[in-house]
Amino acid sequence: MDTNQYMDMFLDESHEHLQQLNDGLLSLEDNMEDLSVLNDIFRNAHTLKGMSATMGYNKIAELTHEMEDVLDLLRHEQLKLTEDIIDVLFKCLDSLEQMVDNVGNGDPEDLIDVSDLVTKLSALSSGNPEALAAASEAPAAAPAAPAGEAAPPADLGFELTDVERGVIKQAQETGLRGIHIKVTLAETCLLKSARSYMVMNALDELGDVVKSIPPAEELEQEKFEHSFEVVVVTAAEEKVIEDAILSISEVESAVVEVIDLEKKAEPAAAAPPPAPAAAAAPAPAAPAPVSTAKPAPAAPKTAAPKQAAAPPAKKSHAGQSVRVDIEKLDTLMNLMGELVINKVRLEQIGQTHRISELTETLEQMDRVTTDLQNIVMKVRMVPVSQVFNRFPRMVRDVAKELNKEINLTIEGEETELDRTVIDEIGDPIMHLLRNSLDHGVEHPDDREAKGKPRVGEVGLIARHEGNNVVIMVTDDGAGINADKMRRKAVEKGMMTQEEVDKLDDADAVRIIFLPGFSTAEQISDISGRGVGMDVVRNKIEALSGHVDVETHIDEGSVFKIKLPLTLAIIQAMLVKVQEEMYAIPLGSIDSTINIQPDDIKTVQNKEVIVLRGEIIPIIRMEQTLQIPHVKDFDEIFVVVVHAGEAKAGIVVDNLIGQQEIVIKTLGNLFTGLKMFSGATVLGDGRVALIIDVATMMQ
Amino acid sequence: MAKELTTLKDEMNNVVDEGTQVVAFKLRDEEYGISILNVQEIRNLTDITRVPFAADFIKGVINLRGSVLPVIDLKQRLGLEQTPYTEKTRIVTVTVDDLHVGMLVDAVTEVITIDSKPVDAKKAVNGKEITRFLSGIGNMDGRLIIMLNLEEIIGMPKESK
Repeated sequence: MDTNQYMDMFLDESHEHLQQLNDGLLSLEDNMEDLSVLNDIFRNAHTLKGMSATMGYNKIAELTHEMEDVLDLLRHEQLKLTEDIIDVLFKCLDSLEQMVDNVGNGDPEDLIDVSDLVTKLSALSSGNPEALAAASEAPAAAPAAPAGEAAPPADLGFELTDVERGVIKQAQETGLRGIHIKVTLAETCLLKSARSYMVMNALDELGDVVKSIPPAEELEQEKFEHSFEVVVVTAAEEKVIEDAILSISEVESAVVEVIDLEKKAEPAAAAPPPAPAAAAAPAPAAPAPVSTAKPAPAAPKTAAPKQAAAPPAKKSHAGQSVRVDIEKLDTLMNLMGELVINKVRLEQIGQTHRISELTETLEQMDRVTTDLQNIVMKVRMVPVSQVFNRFPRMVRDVAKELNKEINLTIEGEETELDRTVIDEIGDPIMHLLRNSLDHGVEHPDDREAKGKPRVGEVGLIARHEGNNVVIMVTDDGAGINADKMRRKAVEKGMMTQEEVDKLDDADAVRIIFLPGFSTAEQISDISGRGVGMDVVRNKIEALSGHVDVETHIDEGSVFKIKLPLTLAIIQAMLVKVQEEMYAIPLGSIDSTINIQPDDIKTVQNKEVIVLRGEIIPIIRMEQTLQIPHVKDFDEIFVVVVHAGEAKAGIVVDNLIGQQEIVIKTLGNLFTGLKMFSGATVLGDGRVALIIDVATMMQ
Repeated sequence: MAKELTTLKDEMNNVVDEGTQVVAFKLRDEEYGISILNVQEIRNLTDITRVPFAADFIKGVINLRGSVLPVIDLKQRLGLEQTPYTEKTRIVTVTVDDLHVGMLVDAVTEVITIDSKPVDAKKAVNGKEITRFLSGIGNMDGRLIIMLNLEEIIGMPKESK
């Protein structure tokens, strides 16, 4: 089978299942008594096994199979759950993740040696001293054994109409036989209708299909669980038919049985009226009765009702979302951007020519475009849980490694951010969390000595704040010592003693974000290689965000990341310098002021202004950007901007106004040009460059 | 189809063969040509927004139906003497390796089919610096059409410092 086309789906879903397995194991670790989680874990492992086997990744399948055996024993309480077992299972997940990644990168899956894990697992599932050997046999064999025994063909759950019976009878007279086949597809089968169609096709070649349960239409619409039944008249041997069906991929089993009309006639004759009704009911009716009649192949009896109930609930949920290529969304966003540009252009025409009808229509159009814009933006939004959900596992591992006791609380994981931002914030948050775990939270003994609970609290909180999303990493650890920061900065030659003495405590703590700074007494594997915090700051600022820290000694620290909701459309102030127009992102602007030329003072030959007692350096855009000088202006406008905590006043000739702009990249020809974060098309069709305030201030 | 086009494109960039359609345009008194497959459209001169700190032959950016397109001055790029813009000045927008660029030319003359195999530029012209921008010279009964190597001309983001 050509499985390439399913590759993306396989990768996506494998990651999803691995994530769920991870989550499951974590909650199991928290509460080892809660065995109900095991059923979920088991189901995920089972699905993963099916999927990888279908795709031909036997190593993944093998490992998950062994995991499944152990899980099965666990959930039947034939094996006692211990921390060791959980550790082994976690290791399995890591290996699985690597294998799936390898597969995704086009590498062979067996780059990683899992034989050790497999041995450990099989030792766990079989080596238990108690009479487990016999017990483990049964569950281990269960997945392998097809539905054959579960649904004995003797009391076939189907009925034949008189016509059908006639056809079979006729066929028998010509030397053919009526055959009943029950086909079970793999639980993981993604294209059930396609598979059933292939089965029907194969059977058509061997003989004539008389009937199928459910009917062909419903098979096409996937209105069946995992199995369906077919009646054919054929001259072919049962074995031939069985082989033909089993050769189709994702078919788990095929039970072929010759129909004995005489035998079937009896129950049908005994109760003719209810029979057809009963026959009609199970097929299209709700999945529940069907699955109880034919239990899922791998599901042992105790779990059967639960398993039967869970999948349909999940399915209805999955039906509400669609996977869309991110490129399509980008195109949509671009088109939306063009629409906004043209709308602004029309508005300007309406204003210049004072056409009231046009203006009125435009007002309505404005409402529609605003709604449209919001929806397009929302489509691109992804909940931060996509990034957050990998952290509990990381925190657990790191905490174990450091011998610390940590309780991670995640809040606001439903907060949404633009897809482009989401993809980028994973690493910075990971850095911050590691930092909190390593440097923030103290060792349990130290904590006790300080009168704090042994378990350290680490929080990961996301929430909306105006047009921004704020993500906070909090801990109740030791806090950051401002004096220690000052001392280290001087020791490392990053600052002079006078410089650090000038800093207040809050600023001294911010030294942590400077390049090359690390306070760890001892370089550890987790953090403190001196690359952490400034990398975090760079990354966040590259996303037009901002990161800050607040700390109290022995109470803990809060790292706060502030990010814009989206990077595609922003509010900006348009300014004019001589004949050129530039856009300054509103997010970087504090205020705008109008001053006289002699309000500009100099400090050591550097021009500054005094604004409400604050001395602010000024940047003359005309000189900085080498803008050709055309005429003089009497008035001076200053746009006061900030980047981080630093402030500056940008001198411009005129303020045009505040406007929504669509950010376009300048393209490859301008790589290395850091002064501009992009360009935008204005209402009059001209292009204005967007100033990168942080770069300009350097 | 798409694959055919790209191989065709590759051919055009390197060697221009007989039967190739080229867009011919003027830079001062000389006639130049680029394969029609690289040309997206020909536009009248519009407002060009200057980009400070960009390479000197990059004139700036224009708005091409809502997207931002860099424009280079071809004469400056080829080291030819500057002449003022006229009403005949055009922006020829081209695509090379997914890079979209507008090129300022003095006038667009016509689309012609090269009917004889062009001469290798290295043989016809002296000077290494010039020839790296040229791919060949078409001779149409004494009318010389200088074929440009677009990849060399615009495929150089490193130089735009």
